[in-house]
Amino acid sequence: MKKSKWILPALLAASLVIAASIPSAMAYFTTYTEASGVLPLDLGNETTIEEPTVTDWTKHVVVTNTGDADVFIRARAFAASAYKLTYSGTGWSDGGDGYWYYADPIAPAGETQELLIAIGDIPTEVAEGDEFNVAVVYESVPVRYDENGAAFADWTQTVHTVQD
Amino acid sequence: MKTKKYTLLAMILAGAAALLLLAGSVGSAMAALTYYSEIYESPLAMQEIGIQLYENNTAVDVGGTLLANLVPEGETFAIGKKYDENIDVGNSGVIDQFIRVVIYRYWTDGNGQKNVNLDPSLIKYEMEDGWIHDAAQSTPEREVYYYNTAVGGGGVVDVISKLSCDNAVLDTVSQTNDGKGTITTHYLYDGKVMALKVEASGVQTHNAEDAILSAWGANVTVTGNSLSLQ
Repeated sequence: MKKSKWILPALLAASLVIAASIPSAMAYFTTYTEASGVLPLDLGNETTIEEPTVTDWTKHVVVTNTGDADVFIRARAFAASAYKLTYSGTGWSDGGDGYWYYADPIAPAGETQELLIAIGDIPTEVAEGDEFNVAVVYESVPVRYDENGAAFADWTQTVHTVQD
Repeated sequence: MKTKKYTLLAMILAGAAALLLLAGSVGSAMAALTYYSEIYESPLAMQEIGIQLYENNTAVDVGGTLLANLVPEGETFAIGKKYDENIDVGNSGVIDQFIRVVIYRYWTDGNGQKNVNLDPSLIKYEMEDGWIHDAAQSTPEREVYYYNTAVGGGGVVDVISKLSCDNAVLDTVSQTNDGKGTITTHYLYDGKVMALKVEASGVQTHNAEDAILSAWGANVTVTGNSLSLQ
């Protein structure tokens, strides 16, 4: 009973000594800021080929960009081997692979200049009911830019062509 | 009698311990040397740390907006083209500090929901010189950089200079042909939103290694004013 009176003061003394040994807390100077931004992408594109007019055995082909992004255009025609096809047109050049390429990108609502496809070796004597078909196909790809900002076309990315 | 003596002794010891504790917690008083003349006063500079982001030389508030003027008016965003986007960070405080920037890039759907299936690395930026890339703390979406030198009060360093979107977002997914001469091309990234977030933080240069470990969780070596990753 008498010894128990020692315990409380002794514990108090011990706890005070231990508390004195706790180091003080330290805080570092720090600072912070942040900002953010967004940019939506509108990538879908749509192109339409006008019904080519035919005058003097020549098809006049015009392709219109009816989408929202700039595109490059190429086109070619197919016919039976008996008929010779000759291409010409301002802004168009032979790619050497059967396609003719329009040099400049077409902006939304813009269109190419005419690609003239002359059909040669037409038979001089034609029987009633004879007919042949010359199909015009075209492809479009979105304009891409290289590191220097120069526009170029990646024709490996085309999927379908349109036949007229 | 003897018991009373021991109780008194214990109380004296407890009191002495309390006094020691109080004495130990009293910090020494410090007096700053001041000079005062009748002609002018010389105020003391207080410890102050601050950091500021800039976009194209314009200060951006905390939580402010970036990229609002990235595309010139009247133009549409061109895929692949590198746009000028100068993001800088400055020490707006007084004391020198080491600076870290964390750059977040990601895609969201049109409704603002983050789309984790799209590739954040297609959002490209060019870092300026002087930044150390912490690959261990970085992911394709979250890139961590430390500036290799302490920045003094008022100093500004370049972070990003160019921003672009990789041409890979144009890899055609599908096209539809209506059979009447119209082709419509559909892209995976069409209608998606490119997002960029820049966080900048600064830490004091005193005890910088400990401070950086505490604030950023990074083990660095500081030699003079230079910082390097361990």
